[in-house]
Amino acid sequence: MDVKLFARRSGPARSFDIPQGAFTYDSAGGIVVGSVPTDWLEAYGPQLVSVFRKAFTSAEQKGLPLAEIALHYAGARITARDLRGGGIVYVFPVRKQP
Amino acid sequence: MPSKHKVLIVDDEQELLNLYAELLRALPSRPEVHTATSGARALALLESDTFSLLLTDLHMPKMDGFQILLMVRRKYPALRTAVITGMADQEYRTRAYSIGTDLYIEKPQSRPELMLFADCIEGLLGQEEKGGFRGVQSKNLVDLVQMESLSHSSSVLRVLQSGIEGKIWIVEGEVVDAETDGSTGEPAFQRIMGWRRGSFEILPAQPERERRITTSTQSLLLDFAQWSDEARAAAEQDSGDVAEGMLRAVTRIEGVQSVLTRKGRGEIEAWGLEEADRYAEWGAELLEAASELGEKLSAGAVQRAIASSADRRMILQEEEDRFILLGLNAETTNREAGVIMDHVAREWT
Repeated sequence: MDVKLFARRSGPARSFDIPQGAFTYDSAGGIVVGSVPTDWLEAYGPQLVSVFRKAFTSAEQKGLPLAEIALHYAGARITARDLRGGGIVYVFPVRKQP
Repeated sequence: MPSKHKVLIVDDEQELLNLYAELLRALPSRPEVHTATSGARALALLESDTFSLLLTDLHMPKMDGFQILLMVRRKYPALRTAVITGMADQEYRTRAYSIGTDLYIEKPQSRPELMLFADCIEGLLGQEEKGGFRGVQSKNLVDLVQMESLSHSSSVLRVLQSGIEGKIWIVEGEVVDAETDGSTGEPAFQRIMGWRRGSFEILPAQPERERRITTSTQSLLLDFAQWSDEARAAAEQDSGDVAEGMLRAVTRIEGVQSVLTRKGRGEIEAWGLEEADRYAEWGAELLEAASELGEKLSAGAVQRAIASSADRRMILQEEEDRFILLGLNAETTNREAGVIMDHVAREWT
C-alpha cells in the first residue's frame, strides 16, 4: 500500500508556527527589517510581500487605490499597510481557547 | 390605485433634510420621502429602490451635488432631478441645467417661498412618467422607429441607456443597421429596442451606411413585439429572484454603500458599484492568492479580507459557492465591517 506519510494536506490551522510581529519591505519588494524570527521571515516573508504587493498594484491598476489590506485566517491575522510603494506587514497568530 | 411617488433628498445637513422631508410628505400626492446625508449613501439607495425624483444640495463634502447629478444622469436617465441650493450663482444654475436637471431652486427663505418650493416639487412629480424617453416623454422606441419609417425619413437614432450607446441607422424609412456594445445588425436592433428608458437624439442621416439588416422594418418591429412579450414573461418570473432581493436588502443596511456577489468566475451581481467587474476581478485574485498563502503558512482557511482606502472600506468573504464583497463607509472599523458581513452572510445563506 502506498502511504504518503508526509503528504501536504489542508487541515486545521497550526497557529503555533506563526509568530507575532511585524516587518517592513521596500518598494522593490526586498525585506528591510523585522521583529519576527529570521528563519520564519526568510521562509515566508517573500511570499507574503509578493501577495500584498500584487494586491496593492492590481487594485491601483483597476482604479481602486488601497492603503491597507487585512487577511483573516482561521489561525492568523495578517495586515499590510502600503507606504509609498513599500510597506509594513503585521502578523498576529490566533490561538483558539481550549 | 397608483403607487406612491418615491422622493430621495440628499443634503449633508440633517436638520434641513428633516425640514424638507416633512414639507414633501405633506404634499397632495403624499410621496414616500427618503433621505441621505452623503452622495455615496444616495447612490446606494438609488440602487436599492426605484425613485421618482432626486432632490439634491450642491455643496457637500466628498461628493458634491454635481457629481451626484452626473452619475445619476448617466445611470438613471429617466429619473427626474432637482437641485436645491443656497448658491444663487447663474453659472451653477446653467451648469445644473446643462447636466439635465429638471429644476434648480434656491433654498426657500420665507413661507411663500416654501409654498412655491412645494408646488414646484408637486408639479415635477405630476410629470413623472412610467417609462418613455426624455424629449419625447410619451413615446417609446417602437413609436420613434415607426414614425421615422412612416415618414420615409433618413436619420440615425442615437440612444443612451445607463451609459451604453446604441445607434440605429434608418435610410428612407428602412432600418439598415444597428450597433451597440459589440453587437451589430438585427441582434443589436432587438437589444436597443428592449431599452425601456433612456435618452435619444436624432443625428444626420448616413445613407452610405453598409446595410446589415435586410428584414423590412415592419417585420423587425413585429419580431420585436413577439420577443418583448417573451422577455416580459421571463422578467416577471425573475422578479422573485432571491439573490436580487438580497442585494437590494443589503444596501439598506446602514453603512453599506455597495454590494457585489459572484459565483466562481460566473455572472456578477452588484448594486451601488460602477464597473463592478473590476472589483470582482480584484476580489477573486486576492482570495486566490490569500488562499495559497494560507496553505503555505498553515494558517488555515481564509475567513475574509478587509481592504481600506481613503474613502471606503471593503470586506470580502467566500460563502459556499460565491464570494460577497461589501463596500462600506471609510469610518466603519474592521470590527464593525466584520459584524456587518456576518449579518449579511447569515441572511444570504
